[in-house]
Amino acid sequence: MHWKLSLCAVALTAIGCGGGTSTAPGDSSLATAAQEQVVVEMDLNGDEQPDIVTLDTTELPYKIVDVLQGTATGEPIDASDFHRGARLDGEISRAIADYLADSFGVQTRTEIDCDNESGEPVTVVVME
Amino acid sequence: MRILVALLALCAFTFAQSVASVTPECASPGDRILIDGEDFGEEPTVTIGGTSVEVIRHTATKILVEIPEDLAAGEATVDVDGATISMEVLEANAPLVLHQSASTATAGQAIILIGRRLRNATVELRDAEGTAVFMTDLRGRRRAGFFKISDDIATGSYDLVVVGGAEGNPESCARKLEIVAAGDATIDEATPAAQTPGRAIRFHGTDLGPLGLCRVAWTDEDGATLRRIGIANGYNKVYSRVPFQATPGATYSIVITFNDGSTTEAGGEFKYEVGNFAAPMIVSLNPSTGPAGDLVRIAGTGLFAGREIPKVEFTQGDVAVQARVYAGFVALGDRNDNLIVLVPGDLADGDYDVTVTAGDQVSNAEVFTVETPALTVTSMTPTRQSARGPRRPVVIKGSGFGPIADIIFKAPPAVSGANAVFRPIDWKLSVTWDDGQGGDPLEGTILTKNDSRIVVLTPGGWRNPLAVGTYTVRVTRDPGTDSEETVEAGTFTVQ
Repeated sequence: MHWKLSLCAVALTAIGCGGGTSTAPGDSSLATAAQEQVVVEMDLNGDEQPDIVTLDTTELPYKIVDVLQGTATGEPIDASDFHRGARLDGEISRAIADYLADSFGVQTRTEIDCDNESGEPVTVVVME
Repeated sequence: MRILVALLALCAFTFAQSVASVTPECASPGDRILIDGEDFGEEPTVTIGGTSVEVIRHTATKILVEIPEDLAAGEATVDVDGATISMEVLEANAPLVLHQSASTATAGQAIILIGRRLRNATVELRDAEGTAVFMTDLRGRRRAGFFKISDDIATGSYDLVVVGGAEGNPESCARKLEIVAAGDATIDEATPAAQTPGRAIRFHGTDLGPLGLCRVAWTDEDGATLRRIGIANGYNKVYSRVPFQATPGATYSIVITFNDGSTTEAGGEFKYEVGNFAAPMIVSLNPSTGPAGDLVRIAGTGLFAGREIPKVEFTQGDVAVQARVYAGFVALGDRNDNLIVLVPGDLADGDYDVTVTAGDQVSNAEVFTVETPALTVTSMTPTRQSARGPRRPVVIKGSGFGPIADIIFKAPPAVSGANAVFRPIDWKLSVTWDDGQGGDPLEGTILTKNDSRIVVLTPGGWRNPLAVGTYTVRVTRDPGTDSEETVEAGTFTVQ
């Protein structure tokens, strides 16, 4: 799956369509910061509740910026201070990066199925 | 000339762009927007509000661009080589909502918003006249936040607007939120299908609330009822487990009773067939090599069949030795079950097939190599003390002083106590001082040890220190398998 996306990125770049990372000329610092982050929905803490995780995408592996931790009551908990700065699983980071390299996603939810560093299957929903 | 005109007409026909939509329909300068349409050609040129913008990437049907920084708020025309569409440009710091967890909700429900510039914002629900009938802080951070709808809001259609905390309190676009009355609690579905006893199950439906603990009754075809506790999220999910005592393959009628006394009975009958246990499967042993008496973590699937503690055996040839199960936990979701077992202390060195029996089914075999590490000493310090007693304990370094693994259990174990630390069998270990005069060697007091380091106080300590002389220090270990072994650590002088 990932190599298909990577090949796609190479192909798009080769024909001048701008695959790979994007630039944002003239951005304000706030807007630039926004482009360097992505929000994903995933089970970060293994409690079977989807958590809303903001990731810093400036380098691999991605680092956690903020977390709204899902709970069984439906009312999330802001667990950002606990998780901030922690490193996201490297394999999951790479899968998200492969997807983002060619993404046209704006206001979309895209499910990515990948394996984490332990070889366990993980589903991450990228929310752009 | 005619040919040229014909070619130009053909090109115009071939690349007749059309723009169908812009997503999102409103956004601030610096935000990205996606233009959907047809026949955008090889190098489309795009302007927004008359300002030319750089195309970040595009295909024949999609163009990704960014709204220019200096564009004023208000309606703006997006132009792709002459094909146009309108969009609303928000103020520079206006909150942007890209995702809303629900567009229909009941009073008291939590709504999650994902977007940009959401920090320090407030949420307003406005009626048809534009009057804010409910206002609350959006809790969370810049990219994601949530709020809880008040319990007493009237049903109806509202505009949801996020008001930013930046100067001028810029507003997001309005999004629709329909508040509906809570109806009869109804179970529509349970996932996963055919779950086995003891494992997690999730009921999906409508009006599954109020939130908090609830009781899930499982009634079989003979009318016998099993009960489990569940947690309702207050609107569409209940989390619980299939009762351990449920019969695999049997069908149960499910009724959930909530903490206000309401039940799912009025919403119609819901039936669920309990799954049959699959054969256990070992995925990994960690470690896969170690001495008898060590601890091993077995990870795999289906390692538990109901409440019964699984049987773990180490087999070599025709001889199978049952291992003691220290602890284990049933996995959530797709993760592996875990078992912590003790390698039987009387196993000789060699390869053993490890199997797990859960219910009546036996797993695949994974090889564990029992290997007693060599007993060696590489250093001893200090090597002397005064006749008045030791100034500090003696530190002996080497290998093979005892089993290696300490396993710390952080997950709630199903078989043993939670948050426990498990240690392997402690081998008998002694350190002796022999003066070579033919008497019994004197034994030091071991203060601490691990597999590669012993900290020992010389015999007699400070109260009755060793007599002046020269001693031979020896380390003796007994793993409990009739294989006592001694190694010399060095010479120790008392002067």
